[in-house]
Amino acid sequence: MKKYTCEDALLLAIPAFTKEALVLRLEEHPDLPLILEALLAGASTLAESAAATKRQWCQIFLPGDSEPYEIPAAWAKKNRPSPKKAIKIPSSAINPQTFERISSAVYGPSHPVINKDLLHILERMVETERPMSLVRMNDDRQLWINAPMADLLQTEPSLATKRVMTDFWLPGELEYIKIELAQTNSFYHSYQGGLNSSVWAKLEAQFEIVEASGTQFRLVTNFYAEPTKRPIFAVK
Amino acid sequence: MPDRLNIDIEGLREFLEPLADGFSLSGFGGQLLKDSLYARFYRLSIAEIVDILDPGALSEKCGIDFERMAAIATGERPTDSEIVKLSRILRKVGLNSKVLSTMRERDYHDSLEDHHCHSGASCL
Repeated sequence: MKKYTCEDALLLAIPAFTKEALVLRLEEHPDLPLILEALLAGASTLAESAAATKRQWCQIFLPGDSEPYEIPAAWAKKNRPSPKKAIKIPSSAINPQTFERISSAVYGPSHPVINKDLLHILERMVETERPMSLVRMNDDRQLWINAPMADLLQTEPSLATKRVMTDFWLPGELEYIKIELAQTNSFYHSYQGGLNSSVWAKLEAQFEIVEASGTQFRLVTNFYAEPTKRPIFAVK
Repeated sequence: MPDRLNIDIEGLREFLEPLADGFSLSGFGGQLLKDSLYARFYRLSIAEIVDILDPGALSEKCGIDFERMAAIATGERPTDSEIVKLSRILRKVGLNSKVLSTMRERDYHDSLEDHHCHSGASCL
């Protein structure tokens, strides 16, 4: 039985592009299942190709099949520096070095009061490569963002961490998120919102309620963003 | 099996019609059902979904060995290739490979080093 690498399999595929996808069409071949397996085994390479051509997907079509195998471009490996290693917080007290390390790796208020609960939340934000923000529920003030979020907001972190996040949504969206959080504590949501005052985007994020010293925050982890046209709101 | 359901809407017509905004209620009802299935499935783990949908039947539909499918149903982490194969079937209810890999991260507390979101991202 012949063994196929992803490169071998790619030579047998006919590439094309749609607006959203890099399309690979396979033709009839005695080893078709093996060729498909080889392509799927190289999912991260195909995701990189899709990302490099600014497509959201790599779609593989088998002959006569209308349902493609879809590999998201989001699986492409990122050329970021290695993420920081997990930092363990001592259970009894805050270790000063840990405190220093975490508080210097996230952006937040100039003179923050950080207790153990908050430090645990910030630790999660430091450990991930995904953009994350922490917004106080009672006044919708975004108090903390991590480095990936700072990059992606395209906003000076000192400004981003002073923002009141009430004007960056489609009408009713923030209310919906609050209601949903009250019912489920955590949920995944696709929506549109403002990255800053001039850039609007289609977004997907996990929203989660977390608590530190009796204050509730929504912790937001972004999984997808694609700039889009800013909607025109009717003047009230 | 027929692709139509006879559903008792139990007095919900007055809510459905304004939302459907002139579109046929049967088409709109189908969309509502899809949205609801997505929300329900999203709350489950991938293992639970495979278990509910029957590993044997899914194995055939997705082209994943039965032993592997049974292992996934009992909590083994699906590979990227298995996620892509599963999503080909589960996409009908909105669980595409991107959503399934997010669920896998959630279910297995994956390291986020391997995959990342698109550039230009932010959230609110």
